[in-house]
Amino acid sequence: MLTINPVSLTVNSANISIPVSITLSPGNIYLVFGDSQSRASEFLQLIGGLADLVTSSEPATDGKLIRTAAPIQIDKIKEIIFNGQPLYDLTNRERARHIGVVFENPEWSLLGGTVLEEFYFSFSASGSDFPPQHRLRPYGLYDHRHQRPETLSGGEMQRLNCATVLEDERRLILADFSSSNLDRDFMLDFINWLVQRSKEGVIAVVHGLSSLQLPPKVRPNPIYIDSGVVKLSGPPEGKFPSLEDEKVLLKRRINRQSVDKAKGLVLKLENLQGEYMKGTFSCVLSRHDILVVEGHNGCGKTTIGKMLMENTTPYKGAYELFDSSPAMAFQHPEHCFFADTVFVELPNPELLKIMHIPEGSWYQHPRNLTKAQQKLLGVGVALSLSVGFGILDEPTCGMDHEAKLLFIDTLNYFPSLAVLVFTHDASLHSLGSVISFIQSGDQQ
Amino acid sequence: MIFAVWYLSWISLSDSLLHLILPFMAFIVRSSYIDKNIPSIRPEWIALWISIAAMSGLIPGKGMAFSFLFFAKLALGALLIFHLKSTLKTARMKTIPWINQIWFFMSRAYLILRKRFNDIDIWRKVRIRDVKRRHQGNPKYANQMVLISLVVTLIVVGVLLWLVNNYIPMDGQIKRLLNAVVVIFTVIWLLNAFGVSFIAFGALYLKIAKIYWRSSLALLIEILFIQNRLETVVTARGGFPDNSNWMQQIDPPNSWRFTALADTMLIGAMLAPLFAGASSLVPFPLLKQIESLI
Repeated sequence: MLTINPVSLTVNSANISIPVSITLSPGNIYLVFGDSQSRASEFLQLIGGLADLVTSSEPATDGKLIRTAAPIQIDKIKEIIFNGQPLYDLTNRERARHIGVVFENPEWSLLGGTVLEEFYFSFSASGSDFPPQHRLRPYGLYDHRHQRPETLSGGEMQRLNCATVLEDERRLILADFSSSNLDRDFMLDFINWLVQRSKEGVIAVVHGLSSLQLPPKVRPNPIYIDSGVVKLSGPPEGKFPSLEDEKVLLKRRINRQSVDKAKGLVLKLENLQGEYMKGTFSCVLSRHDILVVEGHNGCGKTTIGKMLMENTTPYKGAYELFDSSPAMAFQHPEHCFFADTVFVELPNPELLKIMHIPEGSWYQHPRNLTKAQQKLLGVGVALSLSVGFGILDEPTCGMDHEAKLLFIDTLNYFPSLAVLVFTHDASLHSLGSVISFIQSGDQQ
Repeated sequence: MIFAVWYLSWISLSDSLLHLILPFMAFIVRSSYIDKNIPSIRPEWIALWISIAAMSGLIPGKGMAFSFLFFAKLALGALLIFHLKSTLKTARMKTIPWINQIWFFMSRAYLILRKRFNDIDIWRKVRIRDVKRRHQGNPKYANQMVLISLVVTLIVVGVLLWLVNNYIPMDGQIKRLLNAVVVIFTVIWLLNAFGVSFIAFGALYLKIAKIYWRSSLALLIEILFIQNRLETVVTARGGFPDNSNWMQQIDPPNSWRFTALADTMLIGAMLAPLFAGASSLVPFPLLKQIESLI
């Protein structure tokens, strides 16, 4: 049982306030709702015992702004109680034995071994017995077990993290999928596994599933976080629309009417295959079109983008660009910002206003923006530098509904540009034609 | 070029070639075993290795003793790491925990950085392409100077040169050299003003150099973040794996041995010039003595 008594803290410069006592009881799945600035990731870090740089803080008079006070030692935090003992009194090893964390960025969750080594590391640290290797099969990692994680796709790395957490006998599972790139099938499998584990008395807290259509038998308890204030209740009506509603809303928002009526191909792919890809990929892209490519983790979606950017060479097949030279927006754009300020990065006030990036942030470093704003900025820069068509890799992961609407506005700003979108977000299917790209190589 | 001449003048040719070629070989061997693709050679790597190699060449007076020490330390380092990796793989012997930890940290940081290079490379290419596109056929960049600024600049240069010639005491030869340099640069600049676009090219390459500098900075920020983030992961995992029998659970394929060898070569080759650099701090007479002993 995890009990969090009322407390106000600043975790890694994010203010978190828990006004009333919250108790998470065994056998339950908790679904965290929060928009991109809700500080849900920091909340998970706090209840996972991983918070450092904590300062005590006091609510200001307006109830939202929180004034920070002096830094405090983390072992002074006695408000979070796990199994009758303050969480921050436990040693790292004791805590790792009971609590498993899946981080939002899988790259930062691994230590440096092969897939199998990483799988066994967690058992070594928690002191549990080692499971047989074939337990990696449901996660689609058995065939990759002697590879380094860097040779896997982002989604497969996240699967590895899920495997390390689910297969061990942990009592509390915290999963932050807020900017995850897991495919829908695996997410549903993950939920089913969590349901099974919760029958054994496990507490699961998951963030980032709000746009997923959960199976009807799964009834998670909601936790709503609004600007760092945590409540054990559901979000306001309409704030997190269901998948079908979101599809309709996005479709209604898209409006790419261009003065330039010229038609014609900008890209043609024929049986293209690159490194780590099992199947081949073919498509054509015409001017003004949006092509959404979805597929299982590890099927090589990002690899296609990198081949078009001449970063890797195709093993098989060919592609042809017609008067176009694309730019690519990555899933994690933060290391692609070259300028010191947002305005130098994207010197287009009109577009910055469309993205709702406040003028006060224009002369700050792009890394100071929120994650959703960074993603929007990355998309804006990529589309500005593209000729003919742009490539967007997981453009909406880590975005809430409102940020997705701003993303659509950004697409509307470039009406004559064709866009190739690689995504797992089903709500984007309403934007244009969809290609399903399955790991076995079949293309639909 | 000047750097290369300076560098080669300090250390012998064989040593410098060795320092420069070994890491490349190791890198290619490693990549071919682990990642199954031969990587493209990147400017950051070249800069890093040249600087490491140059560090070893800062102090003169190295001959055979230097080479001997270099090889000895390379071999010792390689043996140590290879032994460590192989024992880790077969779990027959106890491993040393802190070396183990350093190994994982280095290996992880290296692989993350390689990924970052890849992403930053794509963006650098896009930005350079954009800058070139904007320069091509753009009258703004073709002839930037107007007549007034040209006359003003000529007057300023002339006055400055006259001031330096008359009021700063210096050797006659240096004075002549200075005058020649200023005149040559002014003529090139004037040519540019009348249509020969040296400086227009210069502006383009300056911008490209700026993009390279920015990308290096982006990478530096990543490097600064790496340790912090890896520490969080280690905390979440409850610390590093200890010397338990977890490796016995794994039936290691033969390719792991090659991987270990390739890793060893890479780390050994990258660290060897540093070791050799440290050895070059040993006083010269002592080196001579060691040489005479061989």
